[in-house]
Amino acid sequence: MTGEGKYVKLSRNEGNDSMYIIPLLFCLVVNTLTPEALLEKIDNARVPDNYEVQITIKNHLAEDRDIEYTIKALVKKDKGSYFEFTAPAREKGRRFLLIEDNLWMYVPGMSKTIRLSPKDNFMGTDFSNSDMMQSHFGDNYAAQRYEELNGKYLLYLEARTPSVPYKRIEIEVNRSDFTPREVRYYTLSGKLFRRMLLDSIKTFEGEEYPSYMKMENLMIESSFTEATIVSLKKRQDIPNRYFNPLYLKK
Amino acid sequence: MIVAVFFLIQPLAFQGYAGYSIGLENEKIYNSLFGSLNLSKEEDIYSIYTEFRSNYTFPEESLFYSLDRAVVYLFPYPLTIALGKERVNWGFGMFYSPCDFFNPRYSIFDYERLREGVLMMELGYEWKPSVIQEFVAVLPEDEEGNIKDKIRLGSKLNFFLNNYECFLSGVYYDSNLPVSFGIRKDIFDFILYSESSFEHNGDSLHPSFLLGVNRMLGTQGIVNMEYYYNSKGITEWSDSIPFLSSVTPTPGYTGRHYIYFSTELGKEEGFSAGLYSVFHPLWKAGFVGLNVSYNGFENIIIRGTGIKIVKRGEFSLLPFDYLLGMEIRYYY
Repeated sequence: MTGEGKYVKLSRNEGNDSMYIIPLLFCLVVNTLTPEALLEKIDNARVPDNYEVQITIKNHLAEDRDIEYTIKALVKKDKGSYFEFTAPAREKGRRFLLIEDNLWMYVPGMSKTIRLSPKDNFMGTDFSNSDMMQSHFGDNYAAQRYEELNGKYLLYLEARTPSVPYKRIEIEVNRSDFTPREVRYYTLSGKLFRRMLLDSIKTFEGEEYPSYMKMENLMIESSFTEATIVSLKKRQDIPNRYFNPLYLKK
Repeated sequence: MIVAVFFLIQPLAFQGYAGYSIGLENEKIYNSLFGSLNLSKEEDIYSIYTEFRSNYTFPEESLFYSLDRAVVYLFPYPLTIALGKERVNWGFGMFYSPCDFFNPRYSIFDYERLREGVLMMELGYEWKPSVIQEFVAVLPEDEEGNIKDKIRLGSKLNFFLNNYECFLSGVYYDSNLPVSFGIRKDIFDFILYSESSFEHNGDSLHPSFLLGVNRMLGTQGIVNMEYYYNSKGITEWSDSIPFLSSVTPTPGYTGRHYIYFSTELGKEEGFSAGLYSVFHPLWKAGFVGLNVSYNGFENIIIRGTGIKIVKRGEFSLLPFDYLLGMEIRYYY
């Protein structure tokens, strides 16, 4: 069923129709799920608005070789995303800051803060900088339409601006809790470029979120990166000072 | 002093590296043991940082050490206060920066672009998230004279114009009042940046200008290219000979036109290779360096370096034609 909302079948009544139709119309309005509303529910089910998270990223370089990073991230929905590497030792202290479409990196010892493109690979992994640091799809993508299939919603997103890494994104989510299970990323030419699988729903501070993400680069055989959320806590008290490129080294 | 007091009462995080290198320079071998130790403490309302580097070279038995940073930050939002020894890097340029009036110049051989900080006091104010103003007072250590004569004052306004990252700054030092501005933007996956400075000295106006581009390449590094124009620089090398008899020039800074280039290509674990160079296109003088690194062992990098000098112009003053080196570095 192609969805711009749910359809409610109204039955005819021999008596006074209006006394039933008005409440039913009210129900229809309440139950209508627009693509935008679905996107908002997905973003809410993926992560909280403001939070602190510890993530491990395992990048598979070859069959027997992996490299693992550990990151602490602070995210404030209306401010931006701040990432700091805590391991391995040679990357410790490396920091990233994303504010809207602007991304900066600071490397300890180096004097300057470097500006990066959100489209670049995140530290050589199969995630783009934007995939890794942009928690909410709705910031850069507009919901177009959705379909219902096999107990899931399939939502179609289009880029709001050309500065984002993908032209189009498709998200498969559970109908029951709006948790995303698979995300497909398309290039400007319409080619399927990356696929992210989300799994291991875990409870953090009483709410369930997918704690495992596997990003596959479909252009390179057997190339994938795994990200696992080790801990996640909601934080309303994250200081604003983290979301300022001038203070990355401070 | 303030930093020392903080350190005495706070547990600190630490990181750094230690290593050994061997080099060959005009058939002369030198060895060095080197290390770096960074201590830090970070809380929501304050942070403290120190960075220390040292290098012992033998058989010359020379010891270099530098306390690059020792600074306390306080964050009474929307204010930020900094006090101590810190790098004050104004401008977007990675190697050349016409807007940087506070720091000593980078050595052209320093591919890591390490820099010692300066004694400073800074006040930042966030007018709104996209508009931040900085006020700074800097006391350069390497200049002679009383504090009043040496001190440099500056203010810089950082702002965004439709995703264009911009700044406008003014500095006061030694009766000069240079003004600068810069702009930076990502376009087609590349970061383009430009900055200019105008300094009025006597009857003449001295502009300097930088145009640069960079792009990240995986984890290993960045490809970076800059063109730098400095109207104070000399045009003909022969003109400079009388001047050189009294002052040793810093290679890479005496002329008017320079191109800086650096890149590194490789994998997260395995071999990577990089080139870096500083070149004067009119004098056809400069140098080129090649790095080959291996980082397949956890927290260890082994690096070989070769540098070749094209000995013309100011670069003919360098005491060697080539330099070969090998180092092993352990990160902790």
